[in-house]
Amino acid sequence: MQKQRRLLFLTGAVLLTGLTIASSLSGSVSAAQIEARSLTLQARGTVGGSQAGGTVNHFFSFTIPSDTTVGSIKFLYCTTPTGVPPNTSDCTMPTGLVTTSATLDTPTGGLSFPSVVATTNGAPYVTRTASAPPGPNTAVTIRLLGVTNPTANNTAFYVRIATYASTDATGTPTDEGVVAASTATPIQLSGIMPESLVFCTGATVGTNVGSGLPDCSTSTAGAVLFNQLFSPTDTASATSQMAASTNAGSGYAITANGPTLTSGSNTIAGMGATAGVSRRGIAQFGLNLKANVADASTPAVGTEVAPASNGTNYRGQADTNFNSAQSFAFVANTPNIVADSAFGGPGGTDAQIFTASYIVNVPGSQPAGTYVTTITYICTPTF
Amino acid sequence: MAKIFLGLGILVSCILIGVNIPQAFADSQSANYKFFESVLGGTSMVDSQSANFQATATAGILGLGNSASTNLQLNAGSPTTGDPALAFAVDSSSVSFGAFSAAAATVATATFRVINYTSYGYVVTVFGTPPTYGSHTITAMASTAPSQAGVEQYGINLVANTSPVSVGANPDHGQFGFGSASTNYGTPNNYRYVSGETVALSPKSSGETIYTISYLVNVNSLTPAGQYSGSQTILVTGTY
Repeated sequence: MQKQRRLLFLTGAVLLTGLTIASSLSGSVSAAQIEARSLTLQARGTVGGSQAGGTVNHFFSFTIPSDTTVGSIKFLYCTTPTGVPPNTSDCTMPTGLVTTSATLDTPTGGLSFPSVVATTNGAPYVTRTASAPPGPNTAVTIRLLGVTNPTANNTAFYVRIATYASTDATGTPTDEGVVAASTATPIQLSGIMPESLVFCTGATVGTNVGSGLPDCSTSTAGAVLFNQLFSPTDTASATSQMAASTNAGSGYAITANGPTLTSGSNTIAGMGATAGVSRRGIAQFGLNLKANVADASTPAVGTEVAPASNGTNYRGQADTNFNSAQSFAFVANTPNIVADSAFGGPGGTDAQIFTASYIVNVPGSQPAGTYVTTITYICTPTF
Repeated sequence: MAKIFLGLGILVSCILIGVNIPQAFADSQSANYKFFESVLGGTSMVDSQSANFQATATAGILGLGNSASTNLQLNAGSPTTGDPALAFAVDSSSVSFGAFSAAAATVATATFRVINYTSYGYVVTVFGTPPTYGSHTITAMASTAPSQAGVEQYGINLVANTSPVSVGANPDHGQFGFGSASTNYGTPNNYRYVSGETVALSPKSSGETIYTISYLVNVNSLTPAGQYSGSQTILVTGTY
């Protein structure tokens, strides 16, 4: 019981002492409170405003309540809002803070201060020629350019703002206020866009029922038969199709590779690297990627690339030697560059269907037999 | 009873000798007792509870027995100081989306938290560029809109979503928080990103609010392949 009494007495003494101290402290404040005050840490170039250690801009906005002469305003950067005990000059500058390179942005309104004095790190002040009192509740905006934030992440710091009648931030402050700001850990975003190439060939390549866009899942087998028996008096033709899309930054190139039509030791000569017209009675095996119109020696065969290229999301086009209707080319056992995605400039493209049209002409002496070849198409994207 | 008085006495003594404001978010707790926002000093924010007892009170200079309506807020307790109190922490320093796909959206989250007392509130703004590779930047969503697979989109919001997948969370106000997502970033399943815009705010003095940012990326089939990266800076500005 006696012990409890001692504890009660001790507790009461501590409380009474504390209240006495608090009461004495509360009476020491004399300056008026600066109102509606804020500090916005503004980005400078690519450096985010709250980036720890970043050199950014500090934008102060507040209202001065007193209707007295204002010659300067001091911005004291501290790790705590006020000293200990409150309202003293105790201030520890945040680690890494640099204000000595700060300059003053052109005022945009309110009470104007033409210059900043930043010689003391952590305590810059703006100054003006003291003149008549600006009136009560005067708005002030100050933007300090090139302040290096404290270097600790996710850490608050405080700026004690004080107005002075003097032009060098000396003497007794007229009005005071504190703002808080905080550095923040930047969030780094990352993601991977995979390299993409969708390429298929077949006798036909269809389109998706829903979207109407090329759909490689609909491609059929690659066996292609010519429309008729080879003849010195008529041109035989056939078609195959292929579709390609890629997100390669430099687009793709498609080559056709393989031997010419062959039966045992007999062949039908390819038409060469330079496109030429169909001529009946001459050994010719060639192809192009165009919609060919029937003429004296050319059958109506083939279609244009679809959807049509537009230089934005559709860039597929036939290469020069395979891009003229009624003209064909083919070099055996050599990569024939037949198409690319450079319409409107090289780049990625959505899926388009190319139709390869093949023609065959033979002379009267062409040995009888079944002529076959395997053409391999290779699509090479450049990322 | 005497122990209770002694505890109170020690607590008040600590305050009067001037304990600084720590930037701590970890709450002290045991199986039967917990301090929420346990900061002692000029901005003491103490909520006490046990199995059969709970008190929202202050042991510091700033009273925090908080009562609030739409237009009025009362912090009951001993006299307050005019000093601001701001604590701000970004919990996630990196956000990885993995592989983008033109067939489906890619999402990720990050969290940050804000405490801001003796203020007229705060605003949270986000700065930075969308994910970029070389000269290509994922298109930012200039207007608030839903996810659309196959269309380049980069957007964020600060609420719980169910589309394109379940992602994110509504602001967690804890015991005393009043922060909320801004209008443009507060509609579930709708995303947006304009650098420098306000994404969250509190109209008044607020205890801890934990925000979850939901990030959305959609790409199209032509989005150039590569490793995309970007940096976001979150900024809290309080008005005191």
